Amino acid sequence: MSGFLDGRRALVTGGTSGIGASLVDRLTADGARVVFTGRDAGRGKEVADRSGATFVAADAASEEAVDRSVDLAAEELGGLDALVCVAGVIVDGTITQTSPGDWQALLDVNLTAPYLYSRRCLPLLRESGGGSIVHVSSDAGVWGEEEIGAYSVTKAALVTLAQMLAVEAGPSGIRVNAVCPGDILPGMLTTVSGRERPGDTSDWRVPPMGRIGEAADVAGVVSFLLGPDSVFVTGTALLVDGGMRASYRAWEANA
Amino acid sequence: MSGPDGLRILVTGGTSGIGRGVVERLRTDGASVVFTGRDAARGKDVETATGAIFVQADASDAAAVEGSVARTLEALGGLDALVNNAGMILQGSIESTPPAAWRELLAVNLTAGFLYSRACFSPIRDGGGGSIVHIASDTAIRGIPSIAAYSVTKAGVRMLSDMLALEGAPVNVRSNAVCPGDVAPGVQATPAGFSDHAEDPSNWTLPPAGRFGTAADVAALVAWLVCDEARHMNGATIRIDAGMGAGIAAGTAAGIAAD
Repeated sequence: MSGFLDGRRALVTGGTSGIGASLVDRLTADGARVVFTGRDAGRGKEVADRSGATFVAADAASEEAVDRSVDLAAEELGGLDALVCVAGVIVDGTITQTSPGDWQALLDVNLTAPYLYSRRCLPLLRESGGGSIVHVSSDAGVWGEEEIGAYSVTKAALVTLAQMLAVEAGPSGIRVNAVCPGDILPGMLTTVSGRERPGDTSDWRVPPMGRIGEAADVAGVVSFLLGPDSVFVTGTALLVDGGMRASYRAWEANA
Repeated sequence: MSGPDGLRILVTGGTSGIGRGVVERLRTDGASVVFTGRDAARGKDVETATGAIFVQADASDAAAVEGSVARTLEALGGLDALVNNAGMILQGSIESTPPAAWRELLAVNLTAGFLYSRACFSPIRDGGGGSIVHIASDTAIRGIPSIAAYSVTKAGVRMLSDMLALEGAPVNVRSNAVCPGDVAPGVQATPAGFSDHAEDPSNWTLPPAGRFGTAADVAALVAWLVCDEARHMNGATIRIDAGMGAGIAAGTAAGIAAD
């Protein structure tokens, strides 16, 4: 697979853990030149050292940091061919259990940051003669989950953001897609408070494919969406969930 | 009780457009209604015309949301239904949407609905149950690129409605999303500095049925959804658009795939 993305210049947000870190590994292995962002400099250095990608410390909730990280990426890479917005936060709770502060923080990181990053990167992609943007949404953005109610709202809006961008950027040769992962081991580490905790996956249900998803499963799909085999794929919301959203009761396949 | 008669209902953004139509209809049906809005003069007009109670409140102001719910509970002695209607529009693509306007759209179209739902949920539940109706948009189902940021917020509203439906089901609080197509005279409220972005029906494509929607069309659906007769309606997303969103042909005519 090496060479699939040879020479592509990609910016990945939220690349210091989980799906984002796996994606940095995958894209560099495929031959891309990658700049990735995150808040944790220690983890950033780890991912940079093992992958050869360049880490830029940036909090996706900060408009100033968004602008700065895009500018730094364009300078480091000499332009840009791809943007992957992975940075996201999660809060456990129903809608009425969600505090207004947590609601706003979820909107800022999961929805407004992808909007800001896309808007800042579109002119750069146009300068490159086209490109590809991928927004990592969630299966909860397709069918929501009560226990992560506010998170589901932000991820549903993110799918529409990707679709609107796909329509308006299509004439410039820019593709925009959403990827909607199901439960992915080890689970999201990032809550809105910035607190880290291991995801408790003990009550996860197993999808029809017979196992819980892994970050590399998602990274492979994103690599495809950035590469030459997906040139006519845009405006989609691609589920990467082992079949879980194929039915109301898909988990019964392995019950 | 099969109609809204006697129900206690809060309508946000009730001083114009669909919201005003909903207030008028619910009052005609015998409901006790409090409605909010930013414009005191228009509020007084609707109050005089309908006998509903006006509470001035800006939906983008979290404190005003809390305050208006408290005044509603005081005035009505409880609550049976909430109609989340307040909203604004912005023309243009995502790329042409400046961050300040993006944030204001999110605050009014999505966060206000969250805050109102959160504040009204337990009063409705504690009164024996009831319903929340969200005025979303046909763009909540499939976005329209010429009102791209608006479409994003409305997709959020639809999911907010679904999540409240799941949460409310065990305690008899229903939540449904009403998704109107073009309703004349269109949404007039806009983010600061974009007053020229109000909707203008002269730019719209007439549905095959030969007429645009009216506020009364939408109000009739809302009046049913808040009733006990609609007790099996929960978590529904209902297009009310004369069929424009039923398939790609009508959608193209409506500009859904154009520009």
